[in-house]
Amino acid sequence: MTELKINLMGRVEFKYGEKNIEHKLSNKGIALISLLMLHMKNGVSRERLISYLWADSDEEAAKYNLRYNLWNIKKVIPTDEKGQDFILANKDYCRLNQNYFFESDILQLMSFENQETERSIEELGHCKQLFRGDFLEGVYLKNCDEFNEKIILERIVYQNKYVKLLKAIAEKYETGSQFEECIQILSELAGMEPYNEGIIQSKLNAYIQLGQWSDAIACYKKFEASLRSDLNVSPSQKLKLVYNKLLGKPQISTQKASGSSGFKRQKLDIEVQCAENIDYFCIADLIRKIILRGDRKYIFQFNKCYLEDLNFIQLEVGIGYERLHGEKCSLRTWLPDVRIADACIRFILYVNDIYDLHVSLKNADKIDQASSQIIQYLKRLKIADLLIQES
Amino acid sequence: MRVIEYEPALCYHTVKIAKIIGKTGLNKTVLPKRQENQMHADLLIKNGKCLCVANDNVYDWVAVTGHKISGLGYREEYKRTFDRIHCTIDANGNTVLPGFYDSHFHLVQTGLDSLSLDLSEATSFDDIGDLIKEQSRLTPEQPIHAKGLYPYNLKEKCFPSRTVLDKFCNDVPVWVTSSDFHISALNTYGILYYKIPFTIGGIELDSKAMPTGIFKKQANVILRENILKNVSNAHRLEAIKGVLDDAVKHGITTIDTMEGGFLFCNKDAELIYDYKDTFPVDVNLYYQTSDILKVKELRLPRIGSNPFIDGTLGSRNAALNYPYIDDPDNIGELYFTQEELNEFLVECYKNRLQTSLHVIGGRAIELALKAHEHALNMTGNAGLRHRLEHVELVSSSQILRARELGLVFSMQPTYEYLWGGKGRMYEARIGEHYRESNPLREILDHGVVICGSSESDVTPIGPAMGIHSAVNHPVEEHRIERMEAIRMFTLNGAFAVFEEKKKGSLELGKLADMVILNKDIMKVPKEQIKDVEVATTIKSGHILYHTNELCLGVDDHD
Repeated sequence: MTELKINLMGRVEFKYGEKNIEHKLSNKGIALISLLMLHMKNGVSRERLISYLWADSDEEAAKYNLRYNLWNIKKVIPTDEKGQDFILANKDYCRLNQNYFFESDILQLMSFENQETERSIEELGHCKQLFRGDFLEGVYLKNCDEFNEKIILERIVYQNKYVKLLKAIAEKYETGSQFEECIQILSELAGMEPYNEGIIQSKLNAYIQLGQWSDAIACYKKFEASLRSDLNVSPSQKLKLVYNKLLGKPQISTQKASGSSGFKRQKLDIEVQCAENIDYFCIADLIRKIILRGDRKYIFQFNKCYLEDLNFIQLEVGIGYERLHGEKCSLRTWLPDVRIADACIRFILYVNDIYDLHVSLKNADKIDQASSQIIQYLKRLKIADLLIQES
Repeated sequence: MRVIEYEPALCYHTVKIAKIIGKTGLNKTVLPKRQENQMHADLLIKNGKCLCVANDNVYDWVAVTGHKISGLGYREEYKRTFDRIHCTIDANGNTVLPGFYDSHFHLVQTGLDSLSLDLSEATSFDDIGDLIKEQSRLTPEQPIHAKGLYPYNLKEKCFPSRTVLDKFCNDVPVWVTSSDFHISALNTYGILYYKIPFTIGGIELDSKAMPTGIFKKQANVILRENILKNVSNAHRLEAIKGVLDDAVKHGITTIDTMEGGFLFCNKDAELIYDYKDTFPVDVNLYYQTSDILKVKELRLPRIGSNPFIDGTLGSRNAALNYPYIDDPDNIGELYFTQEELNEFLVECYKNRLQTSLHVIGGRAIELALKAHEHALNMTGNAGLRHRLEHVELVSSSQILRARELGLVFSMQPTYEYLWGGKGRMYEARIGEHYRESNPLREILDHGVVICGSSESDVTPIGPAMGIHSAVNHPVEEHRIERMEAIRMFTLNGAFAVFEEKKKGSLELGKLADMVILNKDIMKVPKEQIKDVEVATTIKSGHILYHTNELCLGVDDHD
């Protein structure tokens, strides 16, 4: 069984058996072991160690300090069962004893380098667990510029490794169609690189694969809000396109099943007036009220030819279109009834694509002939979520 | 005794009505109808020039019972009206006003900055070094947060790197931010102390691919967030306390504070949300975010001035209609497309949220106006008193369109005092166009309501300075009358947050938020308005601040 465990990622931890012993080591002692571990193979010359850790001391004092720290380490970390020392030091060089049996996160990570694609998800997962935080978190040595530089350098190296590792894990999950796990890893990645659109795009794709449309939309909206809030910019056109497609698919669907994808269709309750002997009065009132209460951006995306036909019986169509698009909506001087009826039916079906349309006819007994026929036709279609009744 | 009663005036639109009523009520004491006989007052301010502000009435005294104004009148009529007066203040003929509004403020940032080391006067790395060394001596073992560094002012014309900062201090983390918060620098200790994400963009590297300690863009945002979110709420509250004390000394009884969002920290907004009821003055939170859902969840009726539609003139990124004089290839930046802003405002209108958009240059103002026109057309939801913040370079036609939309302009007259006029920053940036900045006269003449503010700590706290700057605008045709300037910081401020029915003027039944000045502000030479000080600040009938200059007497019967 391994007696000594050393973790240099995150808060420094030295465990001997069940006991934590890092508090028995000085900061420079920990720094000394870290340096030797980073140079496990060849060790480090005493001169170099002094330049890392006692550059501001005179030569004799520096040499003494190094000796003292080596002695202290030897005292804190005893010899192994074979009687071998943890650190081997001679007149010129110091190195960690490769035969001394101990475990270290850094050494495991070093042995893992550049092999992500060949490893299994389990192995990658184990490696991920070794990243408990930044290299030597909380360590800073005053007047040890070179050593502090070393810490910064190692932090950069290991942060990049961690990102690479997470990307490799996410890719493996994606390839294996394990999208929920993939999302989890991508979320962790997004935590490290919150403005990386590539990560968000991968997350959206994973949600889409799972059919979790509402989660995908929420994910995009959150990203968009954080870009705006933190950097005051918008997502790229490319990502917006993905989002628009996302919105398009479930919202345009007339299938009742779209509700199961997490979208809540808005209910539009409309009461319309009827007037005898005025052709299209009732249906024109319905169109006007839909325009007033509905999403105009969506409504006026309806085919312009049909909108122009509707404009013949309801001027709000042309007025609204002009306000939104800044261009004219033609006003016909005459139209055959069949064109008006067809435009009305298509318009109501188009609106019903995104709304649960509930229409109540007030004074239904006074409905005009043309509107009545259109209403009857719509009722015969038995369209889901389109309810027309007399009030 | 004739009693005049009328609804509290509605800012600009009803000022005229109030004026008419005011004429009929001139020299008449105003008292509650049902308490016409004898009643008691907790506080009486007498011998003052009590400006109603909602109309032209100038009363001699104002009485307070409980939290509200219980009487206003002339000469010594209060003796007949009140059988008991607990406390009397003699205003010595000086002005008494409604408590001031500061309608655009950064409360937490002002507080934290007040506890930070100020580098705005530094002109070289040596200056920075001296200041940091001194701070290190004064607060040993404490991290140093230094603000306000303007690299163009430095002899070296660049930001100090970590190796430079290490020479000044290497035993505590040092964090230096630029005056516009867009750039940060850390010493080596700081890099190792604060959690730095090295995989993100915006980290400046040296020739050896090592971080120089200078952070921009994304890296700066994350660094700021990491540092600011680790500032404890206790520290934040301590910082705010100092600012509120200062605000009270300047007569401010209501603050509209913009918190959170771009280059700020959302924890600031959350703190204000949680603690605003514990502050001595009223604080209205504008959460700076584009997250409408979050604002709705918090049941806030308004959303803050983030998004910024453009930048600032100082940083040369306000979106102008012409190039900058000192940067001819640059016309500034728009941070939104028309489509994006349209979409955002439509959602705000649908949710009936009052918005406040940061706009400075003509192009940004145009973008905002078009988006408001679009949102109003799409939703028909009017009457939300949406605000445009700063609006420094607005044109005549834009003012008219803003009036049609019912927009309120939230402006900072002190900008003109600091940067306006010949030979100042505005001229350096936009040349002769400096004559067009902050056209207060024209805006008021066209009927747009302006609420005034300091945007602390961009300019110093102090409505008197704001009033002074509006009255003494460096461009003569943009100057406004004293009473108009006072309204910017009182009644119009209340109007901008739908509080004009309970605050913003000295009227019967309104909250007793009042200020006694140490002079008659209507009579001091206009060049000296900025020197007028606050002698007493009263919030909801409670005296929060009082100098010894005035006579304060406690009496059971006056």
